[in-house]
Amino acid sequence: MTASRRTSVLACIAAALGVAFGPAPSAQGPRAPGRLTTFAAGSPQDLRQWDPLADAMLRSGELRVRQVRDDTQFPGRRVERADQYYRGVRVFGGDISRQMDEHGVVLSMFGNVYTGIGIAPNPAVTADAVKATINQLASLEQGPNNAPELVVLPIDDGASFRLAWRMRAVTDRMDIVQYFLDAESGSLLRQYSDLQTQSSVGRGTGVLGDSKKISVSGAAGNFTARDLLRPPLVETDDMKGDPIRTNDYLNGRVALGATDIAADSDNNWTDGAVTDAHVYSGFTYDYYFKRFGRRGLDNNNIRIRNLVNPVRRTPQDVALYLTSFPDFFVNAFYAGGGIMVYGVGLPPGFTSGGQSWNHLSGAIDVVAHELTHGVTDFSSGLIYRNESGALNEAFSDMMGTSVEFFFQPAGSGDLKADYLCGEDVVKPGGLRSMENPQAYGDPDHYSRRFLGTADNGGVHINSGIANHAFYLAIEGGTNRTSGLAVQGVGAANREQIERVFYRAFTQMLPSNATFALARAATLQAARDLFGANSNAERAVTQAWTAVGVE
Amino acid sequence: MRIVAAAVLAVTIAAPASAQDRQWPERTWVSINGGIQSAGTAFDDAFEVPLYTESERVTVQYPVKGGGLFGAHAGYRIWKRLTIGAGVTRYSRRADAQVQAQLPHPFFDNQFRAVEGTASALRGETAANVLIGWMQPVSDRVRVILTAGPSFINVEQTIVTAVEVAETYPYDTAAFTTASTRREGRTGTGFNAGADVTWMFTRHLGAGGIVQITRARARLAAGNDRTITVDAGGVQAGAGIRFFF
Repeated sequence: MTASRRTSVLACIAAALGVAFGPAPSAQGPRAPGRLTTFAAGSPQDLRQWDPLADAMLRSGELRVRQVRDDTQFPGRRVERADQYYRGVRVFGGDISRQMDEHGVVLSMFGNVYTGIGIAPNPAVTADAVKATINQLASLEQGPNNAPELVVLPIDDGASFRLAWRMRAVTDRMDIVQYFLDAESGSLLRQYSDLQTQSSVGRGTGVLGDSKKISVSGAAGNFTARDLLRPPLVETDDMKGDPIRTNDYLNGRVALGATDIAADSDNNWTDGAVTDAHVYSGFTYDYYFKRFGRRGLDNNNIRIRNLVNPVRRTPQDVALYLTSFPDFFVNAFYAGGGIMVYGVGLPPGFTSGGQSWNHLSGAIDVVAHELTHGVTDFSSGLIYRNESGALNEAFSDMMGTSVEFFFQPAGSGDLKADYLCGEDVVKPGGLRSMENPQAYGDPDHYSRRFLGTADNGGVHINSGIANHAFYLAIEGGTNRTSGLAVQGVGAANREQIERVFYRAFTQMLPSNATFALARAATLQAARDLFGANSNAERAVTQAWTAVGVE
Repeated sequence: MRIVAAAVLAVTIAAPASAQDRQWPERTWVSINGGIQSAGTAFDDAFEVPLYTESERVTVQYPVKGGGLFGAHAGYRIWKRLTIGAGVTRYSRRADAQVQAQLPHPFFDNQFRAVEGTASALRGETAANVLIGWMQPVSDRVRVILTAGPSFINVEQTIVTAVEVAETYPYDTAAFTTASTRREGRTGTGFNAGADVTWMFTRHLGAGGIVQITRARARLAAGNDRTITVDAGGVQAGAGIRFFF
């Protein structure tokens, strides 16, 4: 960041403070030109500029602390996240993350803050009216606990702003959609799928048949898939092929009870979907704890609940439900609140895209991928569209692959660790490659990024750019587009890169992060963890440069 | 065994030919002794306990330390200098058994965690010895009785049956806390041989020493149809009072 640009941004922030302290503008009055201010302050010089402004915004209420968590990688340190508010209304995508030492001294700070908002925070449309509209849009009546939130919605990266009602709703098509309705007119301003998925379409065959331990509870004759050995409750529910009940649960219409918990009479579990979802989610918790000291998705041991068998893996159910509930077959997704849903795949003989699909819970990287969406949800909250959405997906791929390498030997084939995603259950080849994204039609370079609106702005596509950077930082190699070579830290030191990306993605990135911010944050994390000019910093720098992110 | 042999040799050397004709008018003798028993034969035990769908492997080394001894013997001369009698000895001693265990991990196959500790183990032996003896007066005041015969030794032994550990998430290590034990007893059959030397103060009262070896083998039940074979007995040396009448 240059000095002149910093000065310019400071002026914008100051202007924002002035607006905040000034008189409320008229709802009909002219709107001030908005601006998105992004800051990545890692040096003392940058912090001297930014930290006083952040403090001033915290005192004025323009920033409100949402979360304070211990930095599990540095005892004594903590991470503070604060959301931007404009006259008492949260600004969607405006937030900062500050890393502080044990004395409260800010060490680094990353964030996105919008200035020049200048709108009246008084909605003309009531929350009840909004909910009724969203019930119609979702074709499904939302449960009583699902209520809309009034937000300031930046338009075009903060060029203008609208007061909006935001609501995350489950639809009759088994999607989870973020709706934004204009708070003045009630019209739909924006919607996008917030279903944080591992993949999409098609697959088949059964579970891999490997034997493993499963931590359950109960006694002879009545064992249930409730892991009581790990700090959080890890529970796996068998939806017994009932998509309506599954959907109703996700929608808040029904609650799951004791009879929904997967059970077995002799503690010899033969349902592969139950076993793998339960065991691999436990493994993922173990990985996060052992590698980073993190305690579960929210770092506070929130319950992990797996839903398996949402439909039956039969040709009959394919005919009945594939159109209505495609994600119950050929997808896995994080549904919020520590809940994961794993599709059953496709019956033997069925393929999608030339690939067979097994139970999605049969792949450890898929399970870890979905749980990582939960980690993201409770930390950076990367918004699931455009670049932040691609980073959200990429981080899940990175951690999914890292978990795979943590528990499985490197190699190719079933139950071996590699840089393919979902290869154990989607055959042949899996869903994505971190080593060679282009082989799956995904970009390996920022210049090739997808700029369309499909896939929430290419969240599963552009993730290839960050995925490849992660791969190069570990293994090294040459980017196929730029031709730039990277000296990785080596597979034996993969932990370094895992820690760097974990730190950056969970403790530094704001919710509306960009690839450029991800680069800055990972470099800061590398310096934090391994020092300036360390091998890790060099590898991460070269990797981002090789994939065209500066 | 060497001590016993030395004692017999000493008696033989100390008894000149003329003494062979000395009289031993009393028929009954009683000796009461206190002393020590030498360290016995240490033994090992190994067993497995089902845990986390695998087997916990436990090995225990039991030392058998030397300890205090109390004994009483009595005999009756039945023909010339041949005597038969019986004796009882009691020995007990505590020692720390070394316990080691390999515990399966609750989440992962073939990932064992090693723990080790000690368990206080009591060893007690009550021996009933049948004494077939030869009474040999060495001088007017010194008398020797050589004995041998079968022994029945009741062995009491504290046996480790389980290992208690403290383990917390993520369970990659465990700490030994204690061992569950139980007292087991069995009687084994063996032999004894010894020599008793007495210095007579009066016609009926004396003081003396005894050296004796006892040996027997017992099979202790350790649960689940498993037994532990232990060697009991050892070299015993003591001293005490003697009565002749």
